[in-house]
Amino acid sequence: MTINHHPPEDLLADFAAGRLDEADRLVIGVHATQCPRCRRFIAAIEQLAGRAIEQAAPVAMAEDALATIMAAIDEPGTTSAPASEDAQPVPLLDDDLPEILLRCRFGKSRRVAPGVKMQPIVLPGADKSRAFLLWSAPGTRMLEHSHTGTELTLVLKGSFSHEGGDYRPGDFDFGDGEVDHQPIVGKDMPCLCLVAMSGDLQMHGWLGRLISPFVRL
Amino acid sequence: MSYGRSTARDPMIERLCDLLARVGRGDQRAFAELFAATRNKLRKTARPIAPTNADLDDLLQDAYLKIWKHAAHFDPGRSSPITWMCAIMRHTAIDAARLKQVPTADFDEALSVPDVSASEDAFDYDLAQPIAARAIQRLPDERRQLLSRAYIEGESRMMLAQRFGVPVGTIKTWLRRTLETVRRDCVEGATRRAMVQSG
Amino acid sequence: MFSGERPKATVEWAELIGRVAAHGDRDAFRLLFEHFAPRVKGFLVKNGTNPDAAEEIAQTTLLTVWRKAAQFDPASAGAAAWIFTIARNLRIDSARQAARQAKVAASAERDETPEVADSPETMMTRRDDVSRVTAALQRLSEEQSKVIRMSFIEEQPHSEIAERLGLPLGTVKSRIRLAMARLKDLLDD
Repeated sequence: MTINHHPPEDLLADFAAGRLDEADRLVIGVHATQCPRCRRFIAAIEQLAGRAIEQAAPVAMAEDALATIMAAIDEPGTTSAPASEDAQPVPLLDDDLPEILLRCRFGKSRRVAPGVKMQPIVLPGADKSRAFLLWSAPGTRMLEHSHTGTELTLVLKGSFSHEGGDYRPGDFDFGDGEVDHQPIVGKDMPCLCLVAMSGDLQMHGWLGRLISPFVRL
Repeated sequence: MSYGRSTARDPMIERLCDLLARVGRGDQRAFAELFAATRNKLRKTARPIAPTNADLDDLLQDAYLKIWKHAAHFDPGRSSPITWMCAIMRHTAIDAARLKQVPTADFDEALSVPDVSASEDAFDYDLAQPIAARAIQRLPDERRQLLSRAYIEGESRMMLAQRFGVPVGTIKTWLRRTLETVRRDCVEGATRRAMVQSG
Repeated sequence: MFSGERPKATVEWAELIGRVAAHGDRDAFRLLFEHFAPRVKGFLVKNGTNPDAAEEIAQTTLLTVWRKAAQFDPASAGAAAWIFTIARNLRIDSARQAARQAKVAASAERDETPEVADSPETMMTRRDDVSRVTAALQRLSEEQSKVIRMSFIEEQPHSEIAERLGLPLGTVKSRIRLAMARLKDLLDD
């Protein structure tokens, strides 16, 4: 796939440093699994961090630290909690997801608006943002909205367009309070996106205001 | 008159104690009443720990089964009935959550593995590190330090401005430009290698 | 004590990791530990991790270096960067566990309030903007809009609504349920 729209550098840097909230981390991370260019940039920041470790003032470890580690090495058996072998109990909006996403736990999908469905991704550690799959029927026009926080979108399938350009699989779109986009989904096929959102959507227009108690993205 | 909430506490607690006592004696009808009266509360207790609806219903069943079995042991002198029931619900949910798939350190590691189906860039594999290292090496020391302080050590733009004796806006500009330089070097580095490799 | 000189150049750390991978070389591992563990710990502490957590993460980082030594590619230049990514992921996971536990604890506090009200209302009153819904309410049938109004806006318990309207309690509840479903449909248009 050819990727034309990438995450901003500062988001990539925060990702590499491990400073992103969990939901944001997921979206940037999946983009990176698909994008060599961003992977290289992330690797550069990791190199920077490696230098920081080398230059960090050492703080003494506990006296028995090495012994503890050796003991753990010699006594295999207790590994991390086994990944559940259960089939995904909740039906997915789309089974054909990047493999990394298939390892996530999903909540129940629900309709959000005409031609728009979403399915939350369970991220218990997520603090400020939440992640979900967003499925839109071909030709859907999103309601005019802006954000109180940020919205990170990765196109998985299909496409959408707005003033910022055309977005296809692998493309990343960033939205915040300063941006007021009205995306339109491509006519050929439904559009499936991975989204991380912090804050709330602010819907405009009377229809938006009426709907907003029920639209909880 | 407001429904539920903080007003009707005592009579509700007494009712629940009575129901629990009867459940402890095997009274199925009391159990049905207890279920109806407390199910939403227990559901809300379990929700943050096990949010998928499929899990919730199973967990509720497990919890109420335990409540049925242990109702006779509930001691109204020691705790309130709803607290007792919620504790059972919580432990049931936590035990289940431990076994289920949730992001862990392994997941984070998997996030760093390239999706081979997504990229046909034959020159990328394994080249990322040397290109990246070089891009950082080429930075002027001061800019590298600035980048490290801002992103790796999390120093605020404000503090950096003070440290360098410049306005915050300048710090932001420096950071942005340095990141762009790194980005450019990463892209060009790859192109250069690709050219070398293709002879 | 250990034999052999402590390497100073970066490439030699990579070689030590290679020795751990190939032969389970404990001397090599000890050198890695002595150099990196205190620096990982110092790095974490400087960045705001508390010393106990930093100790634990640093230990697990080195343990992971042992376990995953075979996955490290010496030619890729960057033992420190690789070790950083291990420590970073562990720190993320530790923050994640803490957040999960905090949520569990918070739910424990809520147990103290024995609230047993039915749930359909709470979805609406949480957002609490009655005027917004009034327009949609007007499109419900008269019976439906009456029970919704009495329940949500006037906050009467179902039993009282049943009494005032002379209806069985079950009928009131199912009317509210239907009205909510209809409202959702109306607002979805």
